[in-house]
Amino acid sequence: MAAVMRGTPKPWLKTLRGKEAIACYLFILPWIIGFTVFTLGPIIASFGLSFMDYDLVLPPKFLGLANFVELFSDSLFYTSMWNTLYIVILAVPLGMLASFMMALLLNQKVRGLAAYRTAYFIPSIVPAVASAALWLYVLQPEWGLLNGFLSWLGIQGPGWLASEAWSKPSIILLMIWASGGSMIIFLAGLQNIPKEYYEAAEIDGANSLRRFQYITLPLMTPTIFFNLVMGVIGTFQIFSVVFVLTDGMGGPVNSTLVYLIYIYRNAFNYFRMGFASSMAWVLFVIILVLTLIQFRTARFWVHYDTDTVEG
Amino acid sequence: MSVQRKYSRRQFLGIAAATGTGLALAACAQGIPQAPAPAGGGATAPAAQPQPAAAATINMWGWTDLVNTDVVTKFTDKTGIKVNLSELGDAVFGDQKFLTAVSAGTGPDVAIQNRHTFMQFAAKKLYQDVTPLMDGDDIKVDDFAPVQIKETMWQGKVYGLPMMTDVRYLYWNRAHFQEVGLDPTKPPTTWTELEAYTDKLVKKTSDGKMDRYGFVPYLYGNSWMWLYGFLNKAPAISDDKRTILCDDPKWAEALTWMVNFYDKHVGSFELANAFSDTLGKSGMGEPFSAGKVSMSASGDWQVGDFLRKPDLDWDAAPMPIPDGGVKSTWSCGWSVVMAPQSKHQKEAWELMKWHSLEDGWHARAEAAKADTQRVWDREKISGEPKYWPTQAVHLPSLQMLEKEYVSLLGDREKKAWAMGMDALKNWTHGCGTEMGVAALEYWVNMDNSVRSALAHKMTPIEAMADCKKKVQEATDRAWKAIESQG
Repeated sequence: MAAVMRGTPKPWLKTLRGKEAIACYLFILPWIIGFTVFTLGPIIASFGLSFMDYDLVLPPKFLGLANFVELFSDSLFYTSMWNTLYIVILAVPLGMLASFMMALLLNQKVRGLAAYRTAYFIPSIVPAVASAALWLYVLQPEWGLLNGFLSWLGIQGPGWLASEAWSKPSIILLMIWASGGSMIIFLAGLQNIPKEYYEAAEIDGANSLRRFQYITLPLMTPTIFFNLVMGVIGTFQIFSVVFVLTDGMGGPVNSTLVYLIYIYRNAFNYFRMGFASSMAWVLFVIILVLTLIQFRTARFWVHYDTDTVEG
Repeated sequence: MSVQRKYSRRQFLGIAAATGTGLALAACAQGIPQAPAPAGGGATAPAAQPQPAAAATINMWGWTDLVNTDVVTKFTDKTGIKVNLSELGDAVFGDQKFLTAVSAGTGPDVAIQNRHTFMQFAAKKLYQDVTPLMDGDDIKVDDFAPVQIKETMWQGKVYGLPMMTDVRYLYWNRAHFQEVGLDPTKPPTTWTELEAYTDKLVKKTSDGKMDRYGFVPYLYGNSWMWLYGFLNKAPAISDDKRTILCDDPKWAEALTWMVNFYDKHVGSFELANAFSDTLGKSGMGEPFSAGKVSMSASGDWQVGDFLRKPDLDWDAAPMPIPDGGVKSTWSCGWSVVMAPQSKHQKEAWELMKWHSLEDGWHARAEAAKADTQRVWDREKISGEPKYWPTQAVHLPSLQMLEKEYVSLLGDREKKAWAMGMDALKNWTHGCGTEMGVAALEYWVNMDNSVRSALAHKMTPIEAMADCKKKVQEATDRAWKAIESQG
């Protein structure tokens, strides 16, 4: 902020852009304060602790890279990474597909639109603990809603959370159900597309499929990109629902031991704060690299409508 | 903070750790960054000179249900010491709330703690040594059940008073025995008999679905792998608590038996799991109470549940034994401790004694009896309420419970109680002493090994070798940390 103010003297502040900048910073100030006071310190500390042995009780002891060496030879690190990747690879695209389709439907002019929008959005604002508790019943093998529905179609449903093979898909299902947040962003993106483009295309004789392919999809790529990046970052950090669905244990047989559950187990069950911190930093690097890759590849498929986006 | 002093030369790390420790703890405990140094120094000072009784209010972290609130209220009525009772949170898998708060210097005066991680917490001086206080009040180690008091000791000193415990038996449904032509007075006594009885007792519906299991080890009731290992004479840990022994062939042997038992008599683990989950979620209770499994390995507390089902015709006996095995069971439970920073040792000690000794147990039994009455009223159970006491660890308290409460119950309950007393004194294992200084790691890894073997992902020998590797590493690490305290 300081740099911005120094760089451009008073007149700039009085311009629309200057006023907007001030408003912007004022709006994000509560977050910045909260972040600086409560989160920044622990982040820095965790970096230091990742090179130490620390159990909260005895003074931390410097270990060098031992935590990282141990981590890369720990079979559960790979198990938890695989479980997390599995969920990311399936839940992110499927969740985006589902929420994009929902957004397309909810972008139509139909009666009771507000009610539909609310209905699809609600799951994403239900607290994770509550929705997980609810899904325990949906996924109940004998009389749960889901297996009830499947048996209606003549399919014998699996044990879902009790089954090693189906526990991860269960979590993915829940996440797709709760993807209303990205739906709202897609919806905003759809409504940002100028109507004139569609009108012009219609006059040129483009049918609805063509219009979707040549107008909606390209102009939605920035939104898709945003949801993809946020989805990958968020899904790598999946925790609460798994914690509730599996009593904090990541079972059965570690099949839902996602990365954050394993961090939690080391930090707050085994009190290995140093080891847990090193895990957290490894995750940070992984997410950083994946995000950079996404940004690098973005130029091949993300189209910004230069009229509406500042160059 | 010692953290800062020790690492001032390594500037970056020092700053990181010091800021971080302060901030992290501040964030956790909502305290101040310069929170006093944790357990290390303050904790070792024994409560040799208790402060004079003032009108102090002491903080206790425990359970806040009706019974426990009542126990604490009666303590205040009797002693005039006010207690601010609040919830302990999850205390089985790690005691996060207690440990983080004590580290930040904001712990309570008194807390209830589980016994399987007791030793490792005591070793780190997270509890006060109460040996001098016991001596002062002439309370002796011999006043308590031997296994349980040992679990609250570290290097010859007592770090808390054991409160309550449990033991595990075989329960069987006599009506089911009669129905399939077995003698209802004779439970299986060997693992071979257990298998034969199981086959007779299993009942399937006409379309081949399970209607009633015979016996489901590990998954139903409350037995875990530990019970089968101990029955097979498998050692869990060396006497010096340094060597983990889950790679002893006796463990793999017991696990092999269990895997075969599932393959032959239970079928799919998943189906059995779903079966019991369904019963639970539809309000029918656990499988044995619901009459959906004929034999169950579970704890003494279940008698209290069975008494609420007048139609359930149950009986209890020691668990069947394998060839070359031994009559055995295991116990866990809770202790009451004084946190290191407590400034009200005298009052805290009074509250600890109240939770562990006779007077307090009398108050607890009365409160629990009143609660039993409420259950009877709420569930509209016919007949007089029947109260089954939780097992105390303090021997005179156990005698009092037996004389005043168990004596009011039927012969079957009296027999089960007597068996529990015999087990406590002669043939039980303590979860705390068997798991050493990396108890939670032992618990979690043993369980994972069992599940991997039951799922045929590993052979029992591989599974137990995996357990050994992981838990031994954790134990070595824990010892290194303990010894580094000096």
